[in-house]
Amino acid sequence: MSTTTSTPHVGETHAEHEHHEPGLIGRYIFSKDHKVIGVQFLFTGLIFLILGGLLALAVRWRIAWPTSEVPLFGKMLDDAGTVTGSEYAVLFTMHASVMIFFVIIPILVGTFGNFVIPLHIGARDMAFPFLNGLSYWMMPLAGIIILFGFFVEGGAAAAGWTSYPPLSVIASNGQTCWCISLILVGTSSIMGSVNYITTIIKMRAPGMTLHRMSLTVWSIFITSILVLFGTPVLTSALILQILDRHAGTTFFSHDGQPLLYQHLFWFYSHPAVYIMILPAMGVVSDVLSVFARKPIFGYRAMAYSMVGISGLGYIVWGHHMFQSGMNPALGTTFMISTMLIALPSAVKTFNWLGTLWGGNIQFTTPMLNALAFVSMFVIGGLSGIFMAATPVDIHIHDTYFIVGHIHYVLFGGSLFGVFAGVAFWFPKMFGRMLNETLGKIHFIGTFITFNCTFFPMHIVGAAGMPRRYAAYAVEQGTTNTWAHLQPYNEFMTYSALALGAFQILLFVNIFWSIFAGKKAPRNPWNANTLEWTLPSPPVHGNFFPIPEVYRGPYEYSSPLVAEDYLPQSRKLDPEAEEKERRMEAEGH
Amino acid sequence: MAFNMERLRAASIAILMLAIPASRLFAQAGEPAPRAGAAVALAPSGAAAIPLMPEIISTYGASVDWLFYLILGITLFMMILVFALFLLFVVKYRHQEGRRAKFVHGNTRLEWIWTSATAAVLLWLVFEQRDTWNEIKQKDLATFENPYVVRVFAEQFGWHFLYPGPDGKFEPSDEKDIFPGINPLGLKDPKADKYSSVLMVPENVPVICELISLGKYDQESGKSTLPVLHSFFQPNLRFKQDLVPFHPAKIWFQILPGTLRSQDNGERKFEIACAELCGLGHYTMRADLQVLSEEKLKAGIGYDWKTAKGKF
Ligand SMILES: [Cu+2]
Ligand SMILES: [Cu+2]
Repeated sequence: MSTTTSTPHVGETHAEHEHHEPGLIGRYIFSKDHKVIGVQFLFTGLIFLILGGLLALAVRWRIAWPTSEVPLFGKMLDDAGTVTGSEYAVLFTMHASVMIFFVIIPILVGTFGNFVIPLHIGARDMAFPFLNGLSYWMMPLAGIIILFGFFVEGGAAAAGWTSYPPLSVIASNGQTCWCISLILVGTSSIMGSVNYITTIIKMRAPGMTLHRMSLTVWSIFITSILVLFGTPVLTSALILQILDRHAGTTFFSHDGQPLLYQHLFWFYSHPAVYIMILPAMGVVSDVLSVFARKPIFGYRAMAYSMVGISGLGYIVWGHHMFQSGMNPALGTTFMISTMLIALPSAVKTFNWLGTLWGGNIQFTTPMLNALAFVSMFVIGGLSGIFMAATPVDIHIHDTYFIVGHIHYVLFGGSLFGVFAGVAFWFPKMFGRMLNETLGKIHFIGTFITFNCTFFPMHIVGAAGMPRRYAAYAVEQGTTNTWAHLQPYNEFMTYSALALGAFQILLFVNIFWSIFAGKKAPRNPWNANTLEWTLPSPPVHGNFFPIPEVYRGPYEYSSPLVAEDYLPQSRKLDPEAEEKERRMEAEGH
Repeated sequence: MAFNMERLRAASIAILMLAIPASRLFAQAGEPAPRAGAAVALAPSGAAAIPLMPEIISTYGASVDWLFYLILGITLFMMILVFALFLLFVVKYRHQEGRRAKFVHGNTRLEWIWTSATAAVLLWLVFEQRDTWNEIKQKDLATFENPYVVRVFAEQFGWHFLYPGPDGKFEPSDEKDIFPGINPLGLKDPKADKYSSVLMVPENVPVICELISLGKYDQESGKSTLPVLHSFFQPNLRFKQDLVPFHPAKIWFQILPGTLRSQDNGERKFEIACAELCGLGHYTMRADLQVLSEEKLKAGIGYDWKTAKGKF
């Protein structure tokens, strides 16, 4: 393999570097370069985003117009081209599984983790490059297996993304594909997290103390710990489920314990909610600071609140099970821990506000998406308090209120965080700038249609409209309690279709800009972190030589320099250096 | 209740109203269309037309709603506060050539204040929930003097309700005796008890239900399909509880007096839904909760439950 990674070359150009490199396949397909692997995770995630989005639109179509033919894709469905009740269960199950395990986690953890960590801490690559490549290649394999479910008899998994037994034990073999696929995804996550943790602990550049790391790195560090301790529990639950399905065991079915699966599942899947939001919080913190041209407000509180979230994140899983038949006394216990976990999130929100206060805010595409993240996360976070309250949860549990909440967190939060991060690092990834106008149109369209799609869910949810229903006005239904809410459902579906259409702009912008975008300079955003000292894109091996780090990543508008940014690796003259040391001692 | 609940409810609804083109929706829903947005919503009659929470018919429903609107009030207040500051900052501190951002890294005192204030509100909320939760889910059912008892069976995809009959005792059942249509619950003596696809209950009497998830027994193969999870959900009761196979659970509710209005003729229907995915026909799994006057109930279940003194 490449020998250049171990020999520092100062001022080496890309062209000179190239002929030391392995061939095209080694460079772009089975690469061990963390940056290439990050981009691979990104493209895999984007492809699955299209699939997951189309599944969502089909779900919305069925809810709004149960008996009319689905446009374009009708031929893939039953003879009449409508979504049948049983196809509907497959659609929402696969929508959630694809979005969670193949879009949000791979992009947030896989892309940002891989691409950003070594660049931000001043390392040449990950601690275990081979393991890193292996972790990526589990993903397409897992994707193929979960999609293979569509072609087995009985169709793909249809027991919900939660896949509670005993239903999942008697489901079609698509369910087995689902289990195997998720075991692979979990294995990939575990390999990734071991790598991230080791890299962050062992490979920081000289001067890069823990408290000089960017919040993106902090967030992925903490996320990795969550992944490492949570995922094995899910994996074992899935193995037991497979045994129940095929080996005649009765862990969760027959006279076994259906609730045991729910405990194991949520022991992973509640932390997974944070796995899906913490990296976005980190990315957004970085983006806000850069474009507010201001230090992040309360850096330590930001980092430690994430530590708090990861600790509390392991003792709140029961809030998904208040109505499950679990001992109701436990309900109160889990309510207390769940209310407490709202605290670090609130602290983060106030600190983001503090960061904006007194800034000099530039409304670039990454910044707009980061601002959307903050405001939408406020709604998603606050609506979570309703379901933390055990008596209120009795009414809204398993209604559209929950669906609204989770989409404000995972779309309004995580996905806007992804948009912000992709727009922010795109120049470094591809050496080209994204088109700002297209980016802004995409942002505004997405922001409006997102709210029109998901906000009304809280209203119909409070009216008690259950989730996972293929129709609300049923022939068998008697009083048809929710039939009069159909206009809401149609409105949400129209909005969702528009939301889907706006995502075409995202893909056009990305693919057009990769080839024809404006050439990106080294530091297009005047940012402080180490990657912006490198050429865009950086060469394999990143830093020649390894930089020396003198300060934290958020010294914007520092009085020590004329410019409004002060890169982490810039050495100041002795007088300014003395001043900086004094400021640091004063707790600045 | 220190808060004026009606006003809190109306105010929160008014804010929600601004978010959606509501008047069109109500016109289609067959309800009288509000004359104009928020002003009408503030009037109690307008508030009633908004499908935020359905009518309450259980004794504990009002305290659930109180907590809902309490949290809605607090969260809306927080949301408006944060959004106002957010918009203020974004507008006031938008980029201007030549200006320099404040070089501030935080404010420890401010951070302590907002952290402890938030913590105090959250902890207070926890304590507000406790009594209602205990009343609904942790009540000692033995304390009810003379409850009305029903067994609730759920299967893929339907509900069965079993009443103990004039002898007050539930028949033993065996899944091998299940014949769909004839003896769907496999009772030893299907004539001794009354079963129905409707949950018939009296007003203002504690009702105890035993929730049982049933497998489907097939006489030809001699095998039963695995019972699965369901959830007993009746929005007007503000009640929901999962049915776990092999782990029957007892729940309770009491219909508010006055639920039967004069125009109801002694009988009123509400919908029971399944709220836990139980298979492909999950959405068809609905049944009626019927609130009946004493005479209609006697006619419905075929005996006088008061003299029968039902027991589990
Ligand atoms: Cu959770
Ligand atoms: Cu169901």
